[in-house]
Amino acid sequence: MKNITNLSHSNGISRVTFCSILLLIMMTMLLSSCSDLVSPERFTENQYTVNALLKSGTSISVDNPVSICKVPGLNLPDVFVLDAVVTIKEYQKNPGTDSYDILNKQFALSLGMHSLNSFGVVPCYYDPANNLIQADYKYHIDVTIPGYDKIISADTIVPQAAELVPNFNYDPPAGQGFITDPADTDTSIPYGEVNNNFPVSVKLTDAGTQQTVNYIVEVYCREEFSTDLEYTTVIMGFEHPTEADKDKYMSSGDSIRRFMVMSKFMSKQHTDGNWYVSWTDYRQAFMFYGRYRITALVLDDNYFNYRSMQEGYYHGGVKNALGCFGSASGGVMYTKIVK
Amino acid sequence: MLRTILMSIILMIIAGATLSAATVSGFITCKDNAEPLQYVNVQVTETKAGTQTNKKGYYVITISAPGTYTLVATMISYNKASQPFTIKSSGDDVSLDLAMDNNTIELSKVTVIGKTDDDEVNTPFIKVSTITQSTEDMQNSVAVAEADVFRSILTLPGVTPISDFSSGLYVRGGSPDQNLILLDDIDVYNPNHFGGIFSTFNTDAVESAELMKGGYPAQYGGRLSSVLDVTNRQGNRNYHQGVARLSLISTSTTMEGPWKLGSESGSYMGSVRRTYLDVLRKAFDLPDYYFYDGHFKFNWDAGGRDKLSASAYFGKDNLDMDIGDKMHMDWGNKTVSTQWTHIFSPTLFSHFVLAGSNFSSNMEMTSTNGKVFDRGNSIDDISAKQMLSWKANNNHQLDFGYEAKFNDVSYLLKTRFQIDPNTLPDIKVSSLTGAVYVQDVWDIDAFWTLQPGLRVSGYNTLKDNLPASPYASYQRLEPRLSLRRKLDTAENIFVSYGRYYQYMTCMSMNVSTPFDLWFPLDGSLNPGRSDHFTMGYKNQLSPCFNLDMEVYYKTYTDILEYNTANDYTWNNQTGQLKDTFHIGKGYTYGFDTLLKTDWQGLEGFLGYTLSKTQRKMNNVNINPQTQEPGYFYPSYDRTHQLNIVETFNLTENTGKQLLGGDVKFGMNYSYSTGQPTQKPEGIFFDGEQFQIVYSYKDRERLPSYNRLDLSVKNEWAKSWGTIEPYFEVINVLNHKNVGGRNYYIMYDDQGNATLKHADSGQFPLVPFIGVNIKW
Repeated sequence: MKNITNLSHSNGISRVTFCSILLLIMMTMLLSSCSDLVSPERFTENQYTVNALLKSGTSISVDNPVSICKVPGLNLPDVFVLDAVVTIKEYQKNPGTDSYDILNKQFALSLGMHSLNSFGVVPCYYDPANNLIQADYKYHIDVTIPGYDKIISADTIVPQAAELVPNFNYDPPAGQGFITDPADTDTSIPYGEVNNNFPVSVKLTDAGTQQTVNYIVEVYCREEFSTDLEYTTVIMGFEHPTEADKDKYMSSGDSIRRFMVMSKFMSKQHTDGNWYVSWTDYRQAFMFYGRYRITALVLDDNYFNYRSMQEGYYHGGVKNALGCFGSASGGVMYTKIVK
Repeated sequence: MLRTILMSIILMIIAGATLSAATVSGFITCKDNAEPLQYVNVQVTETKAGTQTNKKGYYVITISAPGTYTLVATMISYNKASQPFTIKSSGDDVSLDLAMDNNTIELSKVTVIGKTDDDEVNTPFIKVSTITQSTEDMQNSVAVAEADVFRSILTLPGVTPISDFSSGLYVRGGSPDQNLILLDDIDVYNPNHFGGIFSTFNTDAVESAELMKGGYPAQYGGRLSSVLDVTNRQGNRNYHQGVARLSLISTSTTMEGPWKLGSESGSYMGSVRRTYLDVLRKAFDLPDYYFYDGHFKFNWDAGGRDKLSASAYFGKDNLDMDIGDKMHMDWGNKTVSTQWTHIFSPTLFSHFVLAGSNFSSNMEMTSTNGKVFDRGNSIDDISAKQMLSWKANNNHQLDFGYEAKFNDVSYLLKTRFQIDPNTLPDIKVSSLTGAVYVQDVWDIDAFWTLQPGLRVSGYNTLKDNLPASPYASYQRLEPRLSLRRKLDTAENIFVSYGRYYQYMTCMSMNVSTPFDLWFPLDGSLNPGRSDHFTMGYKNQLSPCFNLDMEVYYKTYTDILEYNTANDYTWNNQTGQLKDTFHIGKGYTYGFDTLLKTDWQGLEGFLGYTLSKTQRKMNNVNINPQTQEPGYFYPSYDRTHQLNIVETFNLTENTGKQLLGGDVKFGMNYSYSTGQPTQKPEGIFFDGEQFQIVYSYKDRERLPSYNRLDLSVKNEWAKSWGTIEPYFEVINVLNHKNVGGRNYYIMYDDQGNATLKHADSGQFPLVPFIGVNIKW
């Protein structure tokens, strides 16, 4: 290093000039940061959501409807669209090809009310003619909404027929096992037996070979919230939920009463010659002792993407709107988990 | 173009080189423990020629004429050391080692004189955006439960702490995967314990941690944002000593000392640490979790011109939980570094490193029927590098060298579930990265210093078991240029530019976790690129205050964010690395200032940052009208940040003691404006449940962050050493700092669905106690 003396007024840049430049830059940044640095509103014009999960073997009913809502809007009664015109077209596969271009039928949906169990009703669209959704058929939806200049449309190809098989490969003792009647609240499964004897299995009824399917299982606790509910596994000393857990239990969407697994499962051939997809070793899905609903479905890609991707409502196959127009085959069963 | 640049640099050096100059060179060490001292100012009084010691404590100064001279060494916290020497003829090489005494202030003196700090201003080379933290600095910073390297770094301006529960470093708009973290010259991947609350490094084993927030020199490369260069202590070469610590969560022991075998000698250092939460869990129903780690270093002073060392680090975290079935997780780092320092001649210093590093993580679940799933990941790193430094004359110092790095990564997920095996990741990739660099520090005259540099890097995939993944082969030029103008003896301004590339990427959720996956790029992705522009001003305002101000602008291109949909869509047969990420770009600009204080006994600093960071990633933050992604403020953007870290040694400054012990108070205050987050703009019913449609990712800001931590330590001196209990309170004001906001729709008892939100909290008021024992 060289000797430096009397540099403050040396040629070139002065201290004052440089500091002034730095301070000017800093003040500019400071002034530009005075307002909150956030993005503007995302939905400045009306957007719509169209949602449906068609299930093979059932119709588009008030229990399994098409739901149409409006975005933006956070006031729940006002988000539902009540004046849409909704038509469904059913296409059959052209034999010997992979294209679904034989129009079988088309039908219009009507406005109805869907029951949210004990939480009231919400508007929906359903098929009053009860046309059954068929596996390996394509369904096309068109929705027109007064005041919206685009036609909302989507396609889904219903997965091959899949039948949920309660108590697969096991004959449980009387009073034990899965049942299909939701009113039966006595048939139960001991928690310790879940992994050993009670897989969640669907039979791919038309499968001739091994294949990979989009498979989802949802385990939902049907008990009302109470601090008397008992965890099946004590974690960090907690045997029961507290009042602070109520919101987490009662929330729609992600909730501690709902456990879901979804992946691409590969079917396996059973000794009966049929192909099955099974989920085993899952007892941690039963967080509480009590009554449960188990839903097992083979999904189309629209619904699989809707559930797997961030902001899935952009990826559910719906054109000119958000949401998901998907389809599935499978079923629902019930049980009660006991100690 | 490369040839032209290299020729220009070489010609400049030759033009100024003195062919037969005398030299004075040697090592500067601490008198107490004989450990080398970094960045000591060394000057020849008569000629005013000077330099600073390098990281190994070595200096060299050229002398043009025979005569008698005085060598003077100065550094903060040490008494000045000086020694006369004689140059008998030009071409003489005088070897002169100096040992420096720690600076102590007698208790009887109440008036505290600040210590000069111009050694940090008048560095021989241009230190852009660099802050060095010593062991003392790190241990003075009030931290959760015990001192921590990363927690100390997080208090510095330009570094954003994203959460109380994460020690991930977000440096000037960059994410943690864009930081190069070195321990004794070898990369450390995922250096976190306890889910991110602590870093992997034990402060007792660490000599220093140097953070280069940007504009780092040509010696470093491979990351886009910053470099954290951590050096292990060498150990006391004069006598054996040790320290033991007991905090609320862990206990540690460090031993060090000299060794002698015949005519050979050197030093050793070993430090081990372990938590004991697993011991307490039976009494307090805690998770079955523990971590342990160890640092070791062995030094051999093989001769006047050779020093050899070997260091090792190992650490592991272990967590077992019963969630119905048994869940087990473990993760950890291991490093080995062998180093050879050789002095070819007084003006040519060499440092050769052969090192290896491994990070592995494992997660498995076991049911009554056996193992249900097993997720294993590891990254191996074998590196060889050589760093040479040639002091051509007092106007030029040429640093050059090379680096070769072999990486081998594996990621395997196995399960009993009937999942298609093609969708379960089974990935093995290895790669080779090489680089050569050259950099000159040219003192043009008494005022101007120019520091041009060039790093040439290359990257190749060696092996990749994914059939659809193309091999990568990249070569890149990484120029660096800095210019400094001295304004006074302890005042300067500088400008700097650098370009950086990154060939490794990390799959990470929004917050870094031990289960982040490092992957070498394949040919489906371009290397990330960053350009750094920096302008700065440094001034030793007085013996008590040192000011450092910088404005910066960084651009990021081809940056990657993990695409979580990949968890569901991956296919080993058709998958490429680009399927796993959103690709995008970003920028950050800001202003950092650091005011160091040593005034009236208050030692520490005040740091302030004003900044803006934005990113734009494909398929993220989509505009519903145009279907195009838009720029957004990422979660680690904070407009204003203020940190005040101060300690006050009551006994040293007032003579007062408490119960016969020396008392020291510590304070950390942190303030930052709110974290960007999204909020609901719509609700829809999907046929089964209500779902939320969200705004852009940065529609609102969470409340600002505000935390005051205090500590008090009382040290009793005994004949055999010292014992120092301490008491800390984190978040003394018990301010409810919001870590995140979650919106949900809830049904009330009347069956009405309403939109609500829940804020996750950060540390409440938490006291900690512990004790440190030294002998």
